[in-house]
Amino acid sequence: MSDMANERDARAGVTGGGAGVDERVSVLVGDRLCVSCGFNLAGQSVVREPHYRMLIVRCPECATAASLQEYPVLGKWANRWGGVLAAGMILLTLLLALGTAGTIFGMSYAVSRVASKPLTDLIAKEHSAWAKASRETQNSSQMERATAALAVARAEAEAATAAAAAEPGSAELKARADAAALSLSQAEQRITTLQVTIDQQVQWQTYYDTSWVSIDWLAQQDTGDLIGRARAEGSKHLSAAFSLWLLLACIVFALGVLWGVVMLHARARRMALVCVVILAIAAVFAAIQRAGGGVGTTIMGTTQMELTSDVATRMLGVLPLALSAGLAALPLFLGMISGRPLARLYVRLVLPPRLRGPLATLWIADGLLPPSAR
Amino acid sequence: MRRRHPLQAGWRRWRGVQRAIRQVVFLTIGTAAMLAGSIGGAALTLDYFRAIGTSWTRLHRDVLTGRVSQWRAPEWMQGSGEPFSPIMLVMFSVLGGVVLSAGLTHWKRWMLIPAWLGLWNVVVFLPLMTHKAVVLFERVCAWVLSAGPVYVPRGSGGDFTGTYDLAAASMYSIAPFAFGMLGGSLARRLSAMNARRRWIKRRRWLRRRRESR
Repeated sequence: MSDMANERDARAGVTGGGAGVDERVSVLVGDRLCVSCGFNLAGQSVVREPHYRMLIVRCPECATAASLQEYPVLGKWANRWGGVLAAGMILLTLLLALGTAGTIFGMSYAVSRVASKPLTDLIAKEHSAWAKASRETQNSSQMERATAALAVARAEAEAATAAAAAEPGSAELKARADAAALSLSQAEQRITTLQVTIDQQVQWQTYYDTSWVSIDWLAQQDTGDLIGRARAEGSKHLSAAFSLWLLLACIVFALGVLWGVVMLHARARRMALVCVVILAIAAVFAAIQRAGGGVGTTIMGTTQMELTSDVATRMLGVLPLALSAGLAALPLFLGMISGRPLARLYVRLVLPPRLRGPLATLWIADGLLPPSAR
Repeated sequence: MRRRHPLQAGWRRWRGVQRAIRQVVFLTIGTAAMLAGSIGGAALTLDYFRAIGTSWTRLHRDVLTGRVSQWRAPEWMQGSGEPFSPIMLVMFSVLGGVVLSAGLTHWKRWMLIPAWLGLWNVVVFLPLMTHKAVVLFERVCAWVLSAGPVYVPRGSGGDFTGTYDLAAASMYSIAPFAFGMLGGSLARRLSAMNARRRWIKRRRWLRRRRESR
């Protein structure tokens, strides 16, 4: 009889030995009739009988033992396929580790961005005020110069026009008056252009002055003072950051459940170790991200600017990111611990008893009785 | 007794595992899709109800008091598809009944209705529960920092009338869901009959082959 749900478990049982009456090692899948009474043995537990330590299935109706036979694997392909499957499993585990670490890092980064929002707002406000004041100074001086040039051009034009009117026949004076009139028109045009430019700047400054920070201005700031003032304003976005972290916790818990099922024979200590490894991979991701920093810079005019949110996140350092990622290890570990019990519960809920047999590994891995087939 | 090659035995075992996993996955996806469709239909119907001056929570009262005769669709809604949104709710609820009834054959029939209601309400109340968790977190923070509430989230007053409305809609989905359960049972019986017919056919074929040797 070769239709055991888990022959590997049975083989492990052969070498493992161990005393006890009717040690249950697996569950029978497929239809097998009892040789004595014809009862269908599907779903019965495969047990190790205590006398000869042989694997049998006992008929629940007439107690007749039906033997199980193990076959030697003669061909090479079974081992080869086993190797391929093992390699696939390792690859899957690696991908799952990278995916989990990526999720933890990505969402923790988002949490740190939200947590740094008060500082971002403060920097944006300060920079906006500074940019507005410096721009107004620059604009007013430009406007003053343009107005002075206009007054001069107007005076020259009036004088040239008067001189040309006093001597109507003089072609030279007429040409001078025309040139002065052209200068006047150009000066007026310049003022109009300047005004338009200033208006456009005012329109755009609302966006740029808050989203982008001049690096020169930033160099003059006291970072500690900025952080202190942002903190004093209160943890305005703490709730938003926590909401996001809750989402992270839910996703990581679900991944933990998946881990719990994938690592069938792992106990709590090994699960904790896997958590540490995943956090280490997330830390590597964070280090790579920090090493590749400065992506959000641009040059406007002659000034190099950096994204305000990048600046705020960098100023706060790794603490929010590390805190979020570190705390995410808790739902991950809880998910791993409760993974198999939850999977068993779900299988019981969703699958009819007859279909549970093939997933008996979920029970056997924790030393529990396989689910009954009826 | 006929012995199978280990590879063949392994393959059969894998097919068994695959069958079990397939049912777990497809039943989960199917249930989630039908639930999402039903709740979506209920939300669209709620929009329509609001436009005509009622809601899911007031619906039974309106029906009992005869206020139904006063319902008037606004002019901007003339010719739009909103009045048909209850069809979506009914359709997905019926299909939900079919999926759950055909999939969860080992459940007591009547248990499927509380399960459907439970799933529906968990989904609908999730935003409310998250909101409560965030407010609680904020209060704990304020208590730890010995300060007043540091930040009052938007809508902390709790305008969750939509949530309660959708929860009420779950009660209305029971009727089409129960109808779908009947359909699921019928589908299962038909499937069982078909499987039996195929098995009898195979058994005859196996006997013929054995006897011809």
